[in-house]
Amino acid sequence: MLAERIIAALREIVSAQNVLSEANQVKAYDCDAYVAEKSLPGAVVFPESTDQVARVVKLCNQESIPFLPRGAGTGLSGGATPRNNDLVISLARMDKLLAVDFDNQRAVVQPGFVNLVLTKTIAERGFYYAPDPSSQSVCTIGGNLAENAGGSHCLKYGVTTNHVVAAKVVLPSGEIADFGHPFGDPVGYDVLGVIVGSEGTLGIATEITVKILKRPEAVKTVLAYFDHVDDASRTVSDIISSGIIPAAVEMMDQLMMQAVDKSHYHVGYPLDIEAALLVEVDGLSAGVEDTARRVMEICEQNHVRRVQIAKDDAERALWWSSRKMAFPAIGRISPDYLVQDGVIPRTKLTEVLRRIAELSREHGLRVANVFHAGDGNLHPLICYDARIPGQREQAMKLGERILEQCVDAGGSITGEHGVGLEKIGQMAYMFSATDLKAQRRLREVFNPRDLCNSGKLIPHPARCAEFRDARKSAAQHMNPTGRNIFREEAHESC
Amino acid sequence: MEESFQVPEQRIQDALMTCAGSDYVRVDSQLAARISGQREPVVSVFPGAADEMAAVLRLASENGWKVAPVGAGTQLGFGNIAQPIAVAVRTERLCQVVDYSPADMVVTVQSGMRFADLQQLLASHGQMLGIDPVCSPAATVGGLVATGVSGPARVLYGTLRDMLIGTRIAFADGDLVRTGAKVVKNVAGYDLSKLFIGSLGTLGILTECTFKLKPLPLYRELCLLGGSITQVDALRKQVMDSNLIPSSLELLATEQAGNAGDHSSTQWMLAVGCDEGEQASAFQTRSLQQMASVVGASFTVLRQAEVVQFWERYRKTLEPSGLVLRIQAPPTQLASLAGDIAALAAAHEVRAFHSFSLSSGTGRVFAKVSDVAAILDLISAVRQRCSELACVSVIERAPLEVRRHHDCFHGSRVGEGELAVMRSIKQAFDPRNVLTPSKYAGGI
Repeated sequence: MLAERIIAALREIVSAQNVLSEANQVKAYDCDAYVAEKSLPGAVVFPESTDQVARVVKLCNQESIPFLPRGAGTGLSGGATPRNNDLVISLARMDKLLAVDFDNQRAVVQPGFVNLVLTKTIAERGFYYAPDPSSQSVCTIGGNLAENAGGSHCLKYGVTTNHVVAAKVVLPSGEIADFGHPFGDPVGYDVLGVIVGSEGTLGIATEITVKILKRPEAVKTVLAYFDHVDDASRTVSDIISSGIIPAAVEMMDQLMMQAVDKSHYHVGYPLDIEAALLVEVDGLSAGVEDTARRVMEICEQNHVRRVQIAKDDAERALWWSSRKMAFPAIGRISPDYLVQDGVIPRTKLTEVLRRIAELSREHGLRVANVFHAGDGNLHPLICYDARIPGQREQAMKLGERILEQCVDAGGSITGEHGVGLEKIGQMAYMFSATDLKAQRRLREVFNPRDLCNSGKLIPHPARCAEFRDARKSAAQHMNPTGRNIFREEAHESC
Repeated sequence: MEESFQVPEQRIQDALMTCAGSDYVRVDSQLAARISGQREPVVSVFPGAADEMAAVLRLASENGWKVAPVGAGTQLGFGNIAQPIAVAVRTERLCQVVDYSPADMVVTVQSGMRFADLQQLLASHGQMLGIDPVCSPAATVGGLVATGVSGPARVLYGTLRDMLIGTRIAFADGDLVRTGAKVVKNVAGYDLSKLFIGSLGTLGILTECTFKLKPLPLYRELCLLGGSITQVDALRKQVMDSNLIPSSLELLATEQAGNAGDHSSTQWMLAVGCDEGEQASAFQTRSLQQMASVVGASFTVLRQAEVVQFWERYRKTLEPSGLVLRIQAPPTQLASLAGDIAALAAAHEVRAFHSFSLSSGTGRVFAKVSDVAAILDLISAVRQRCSELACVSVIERAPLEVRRHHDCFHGSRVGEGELAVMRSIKQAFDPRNVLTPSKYAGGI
């Protein structure tokens, strides 16, 4: 907890009702949606303006208090988890839509504004906001900016960084600066480009200008069942190489389908198919029908068992709910689960899935797979039971192995969930010490005192070596209890 | 500064030969004049590999030699005039494809590869890098990234910042660093790649670039809608309000076809492309034809090869322009601003060409530089107008004598806070100020 003197100063800035400081009040802020690690914040404040954010940050600087920004807390990598008794700066009360300019296709929002609310607000005029993470009904655009959030439709429309054009940012020093341009290219370095996806380590965005797009005139959604995962993977490659850019291509494996069919969103997937593919194409009515037909033909060339076009909006919505509710649905078949977020070149899909299946057997834990197949972004869901001693550690270890497979295949440890706390150990697997040094140089420009979301995203130099050594010894001498000592130590030190 | 020029070129040359071999180092006096207008010659070094490039930079840093990266040397007219340069690091020999997996639609090439060669290679697999800038056929991939160019296709395909997903960079201290990844989706670490787009080589030298690709459109149509600025702007509004999917929404002055000088007769044209396939194109063309007839605009449609030829002719006409000014304003203001600029150009008797990608809020004015004084005045007048509207103007290309008088970067919205961060970034990555000092925004 923070000293009473500090709490009083915070109350002075944001008013008493906007400060939480009792242990029972701040308990809800001890982690984000990555629940494997938790610790209490020093306090939580709810500023209502850029100026208040700046004053809070300046106070943190004067008093050397670690702090971090938080949106809706839906992040999946621990980016908003306070590990240093941090002051949590919640942007939940900065939730206004500041301006919409339909003619110029821009909207300005406060960071706490909810992603889907933007789309709902502008839908009447035929517009939408493109990035659509599965949590879009609750997650905030400020959080999306911090994590460079993706979603199912980013195959065609891009991720958050392609849609944020300008932002007002409270820097870790408490200074306020504007970055980016609402129209056109950066004048000078693309600083906004590095702030997006910086996981709250380079500052706090308090006003965000985004592009809003016209809704496509027509959408067709195709659902295809495959006996073999390989056929489904090949279908994805064939669709893309035929020159079609689908709005989305999603795949689920057998275990995943079984889980979602037990949830509220029952599609009725045949029990014996290995993969289901959800392909969406959009554009002008005049062409979409034809494109959907070509997609179906490609499915047929690849031995699809059954392929169908959604007959109406209700069916399309059901298929999408079934896909988007995949993570929570895993709760139907496993008491606990861990989501991973690796990316691989699309062409390595079959190979990496086979390897994941092997690793799953080796570790004795089931893995369900759901992924954005179009851009090779895998979400293996590792099923475990935290009540069984050692299983959580075993699950984390399996997750790490899977990410390493992704890197070995030429990919990345995270496509959209971020590094946060969770994957900080894998950064040194993906990047060399020199690469990470460059990353740290950037961080030091913004955050020289390392008060702003300290311990996230980029590992400290000495600790990279520790990670590597620990990994080696862990690999050589598997701990007989199955408890991954390396992992625990790593988190404490980073 | 002074120090580096007390060192005879011969010594620099000898030292650089230890990095790149004696065949790949030479003294160059013409290039020196083009880089910074300096009298002193530069020593050109042509590293054959990324680690040679890094070694060159380390050596230059240690000796305090100022360095300019040079690709084909076709984009040197961008940026403020740098301090005198001792070493030109040439990327010419770094021209290989490092990795190309058509099925993944990702390509990694060395920075010295010619953009035209890259597009040709990709086209043979039915793919493309989705940019269509006005540039020389000799321009290199690294040069285009470093200058952050774009063209009419940006309204559908975006800009380099939407395509560059990874790089390999040689920093001034000799560190060789990878940024990003070779997969289309990646959020591991800071997106450092973005810093190098349009950075004019002031932060580091690109040795490799990895891009996300697009399929080459199977079918193309281009509608040309002609009329007054008011008519054309009304069409712009209708198109942006519709569900149409333009692959270009380019406002062009028809005097580009050759009828220069007389502003009163300036006719404007909106070039609206469709890359969505034959059926969709037919629908879009019909819709546009209807819109044109309602506002009384003329209408022509080009198909397939004609479309390709149209844009080739466009690029060929504009490529020799000695002056390129980039203008940024909201789409609703852009057409009338283009009209104002055309009037100013006519008043200054400058033959200018106007090309504005309306829905992106970006446009370019191209002009031949025959009368420097007139160009200087025109730039002042255009900037005056832009300031009144709180719009941005950037000089993307101009002869030295123009850049001596005008700061290339002029953005009403670039505040001190942003500049301070930019200066710190420069300081962090190039602490000894080795890479083309003074060329960039805010004196960086």
